[in-house]
Amino acid sequence: MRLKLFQDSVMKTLCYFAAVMTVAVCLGIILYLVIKGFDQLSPDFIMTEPNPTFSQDNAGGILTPIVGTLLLTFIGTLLAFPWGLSSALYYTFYAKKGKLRDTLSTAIDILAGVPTIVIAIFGLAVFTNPFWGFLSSRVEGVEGISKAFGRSFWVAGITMGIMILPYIIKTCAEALKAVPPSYIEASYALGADKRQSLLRVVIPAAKNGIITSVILGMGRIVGDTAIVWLTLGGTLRMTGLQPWYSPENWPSTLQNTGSTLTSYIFYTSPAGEGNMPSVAFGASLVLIVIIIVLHIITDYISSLGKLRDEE
Amino acid sequence: MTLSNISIAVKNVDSWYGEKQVLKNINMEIEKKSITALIGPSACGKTTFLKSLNRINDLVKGFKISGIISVGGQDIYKDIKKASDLMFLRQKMGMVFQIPNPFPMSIYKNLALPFSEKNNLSSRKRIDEVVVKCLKDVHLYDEVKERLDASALDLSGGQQQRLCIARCLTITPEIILFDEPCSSLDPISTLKIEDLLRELKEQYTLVIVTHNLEQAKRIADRVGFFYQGELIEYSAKDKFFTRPRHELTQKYLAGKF
Amino acid sequence: MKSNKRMVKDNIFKHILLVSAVLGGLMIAFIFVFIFIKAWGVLSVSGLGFITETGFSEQIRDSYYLAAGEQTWFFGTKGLFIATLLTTAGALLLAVPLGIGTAVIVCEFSHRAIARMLSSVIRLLASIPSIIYGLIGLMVVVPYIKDSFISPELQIQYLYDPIMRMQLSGKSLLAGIIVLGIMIMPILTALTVDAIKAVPKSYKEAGLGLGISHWRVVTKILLPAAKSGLFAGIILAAGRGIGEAIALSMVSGGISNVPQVAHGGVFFLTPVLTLASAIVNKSEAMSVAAIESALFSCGVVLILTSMLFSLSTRLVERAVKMK
Repeated sequence: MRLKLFQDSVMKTLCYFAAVMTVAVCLGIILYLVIKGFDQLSPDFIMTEPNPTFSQDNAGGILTPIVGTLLLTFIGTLLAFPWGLSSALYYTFYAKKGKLRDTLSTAIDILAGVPTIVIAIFGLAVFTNPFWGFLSSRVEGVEGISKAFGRSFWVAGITMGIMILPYIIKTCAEALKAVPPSYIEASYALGADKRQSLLRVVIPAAKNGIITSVILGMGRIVGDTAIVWLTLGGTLRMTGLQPWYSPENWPSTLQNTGSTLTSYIFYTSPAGEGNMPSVAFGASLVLIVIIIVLHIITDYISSLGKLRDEE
Repeated sequence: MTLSNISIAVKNVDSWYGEKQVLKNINMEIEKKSITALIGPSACGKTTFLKSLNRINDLVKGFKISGIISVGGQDIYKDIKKASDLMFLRQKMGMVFQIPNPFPMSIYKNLALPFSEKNNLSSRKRIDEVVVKCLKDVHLYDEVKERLDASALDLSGGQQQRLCIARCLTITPEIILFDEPCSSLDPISTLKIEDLLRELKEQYTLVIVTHNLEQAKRIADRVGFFYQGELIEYSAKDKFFTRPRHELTQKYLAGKF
Repeated sequence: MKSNKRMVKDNIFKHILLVSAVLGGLMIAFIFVFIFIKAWGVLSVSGLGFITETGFSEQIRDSYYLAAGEQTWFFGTKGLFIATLLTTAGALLLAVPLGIGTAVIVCEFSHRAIARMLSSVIRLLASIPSIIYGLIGLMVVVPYIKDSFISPELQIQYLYDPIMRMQLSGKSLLAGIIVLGIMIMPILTALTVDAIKAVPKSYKEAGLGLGISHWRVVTKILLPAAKSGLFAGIILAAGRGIGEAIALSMVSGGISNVPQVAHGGVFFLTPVLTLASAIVNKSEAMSVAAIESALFSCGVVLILTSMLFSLSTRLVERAVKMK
């Protein structure tokens, strides 16, 4: 008995050790970023455009990367959310059970697990087809073959949308399935048709799950680097007509390349061409703050759901 | 009851969940090798009381207790400080729960696990013997001997509950606590368990919480009636059912709650 | 009249949903088909050699510089394949014990307030973008490895290695394992916490009621009861590891090397290239048809792996349900 208790306490100590290690590593990462990045943070850093240079002092700020992240999140979500939700509605409430639906749900599962880098080369290969030239710009190849450039905010945003689509379908379908059938029956009993029941009863009831799904999808877009690196091009600045922010130049901005926070970090880190780690840390800190905000929102929403359940 | 005959002695026990008092000044002596039934309406404190006896209530957040509960002369709240002593206490007292809760493993392992946890260095042969003996004690052996390696979750509810009782027997306890063991079972399974309890009391001290008056009448030696956290009446079965002293008991027996 | 209008509306609504569902299905099918078609050029020439032969980096170089007619369509990614397996397996070896140990402490052996704080920190870390892990790996882990394990002599020795010249810069298999391990640890911990919490409380009560120590209840009853959840968590973490491109391309070096056991400890210090990070690394050369096809072939291997994973979790779920 003694020996056993001794073994147990050794194992338990090891577990505590593991927990302390995990927490130390986690807090270490956050602290390291805060320490390294905090100096960079200033209104200037956030409000000025980056400067392609080799000197860290003139590197400028991260205004366009922030705008780039927002743009991609916006385009991707705008594409994937309505599409994903309506598909999920169809699969959950209209599609007949059978082989086709099973195959499709398996395919959605698999696609949701496919690494984003694979989706990234897919996007690049598809959108370099001249047919899609209007999304980026046409380039003349060496042998006179016309190709699309295949790298722009439009292309990257649409690829992001495709990347999160299976994920949105899956999580929205889960949220919709969690609505008790009795709600729908009650709605039918009151004389509502299927459309009314879905729009007025099911979707409001699944609201929290649907919002959480969208926010998690946004988080994926914000955090993704592979798709940005391949389909948005590796330029720091907006390459459309300048100034990029004036409305008449928006179409051009969207057709051209730029950067997001993640590609900015990649570019300015020693892995990219810039080798300006201090601004990379500043951008990382901003990126983490965005992720934390999204995190707090989902936590808040899920706590709302729990409160309601407890009542 | 003579002193040597007392298995559990409870003196001035009060307890709380947070601010809410759930047991009020309980005094009670539980006799060895007998069946003591605890009855009362729901939320009267009888299950809290039962779960205080082996300190499984320690798991509940905000649970507090005062007074003395002594098992075999040991005050289980004040004398037991170390986790290992608490383990020894619980090894003296088996517990069977309201909903049968066999572990999600094979029938054999359900019994082998607690036995080998208690007794180190047991040979496989010794474990086999104990498993078979305990299954026979609860009359389950003939029903499952062909499939000891099957999952315990495949058994019926009544079989699962008997398996849970057999699981307690593997640690050779002195006392077994039952928390409404039949409330989720059908009448035939219930009768089988009641027969089993009558056999078990030859060797073990049994304390059973039940909300079924008829069950208490059929199996108990002594009956305690809890109402709103108080032990209203506690006496031998015949006296309890034929000549209850307290007005509340009379009302309860007459079905007036 | 009114009900007629309602029916029309209902019908239109249904058809809008149908169209988007069909488009969604077509899109998904299109992605798979497109990738397989693009990959076919290389896969049909290379066959199984694609994962059993080496030389990926050189083949890419040759395809890039040779004229269109002379390009090779034969690629061998044995090095990438092995590197992918090694980094993921190493990361799991690091993350699984730490993750499960942490989850056990969070669920069973810590104060409620601390447990709640810990699990929200862990969930936050699980959602930190991989680029940040890559950046920290590059700024902290890689220099550390270089300073503590790689001497100038060793560098010179391998720079003139007869079989495979390589630069030992600290960007290595070891750096990849450490960064990937730290990256998947929070995911694994969070999923293990969920799996342990999903075990019915009555098992714990029964175990403690039988006088089994709390620790033993956890290891002998709770963890076995949570094993399908644990397994799913490990598979998910492995999938994340296999698909990780950016962070690994930053810290593990960029050549398709097969680490040699004969090199002893240097095994871990040699640079490697995984399937996913190869796509990032070589994407600039994608305008060459053969290279494009080779990168899509890497994609196919990744898709097949994630298929295998999602299949195996489904099988486990089914097996558990049948029980």
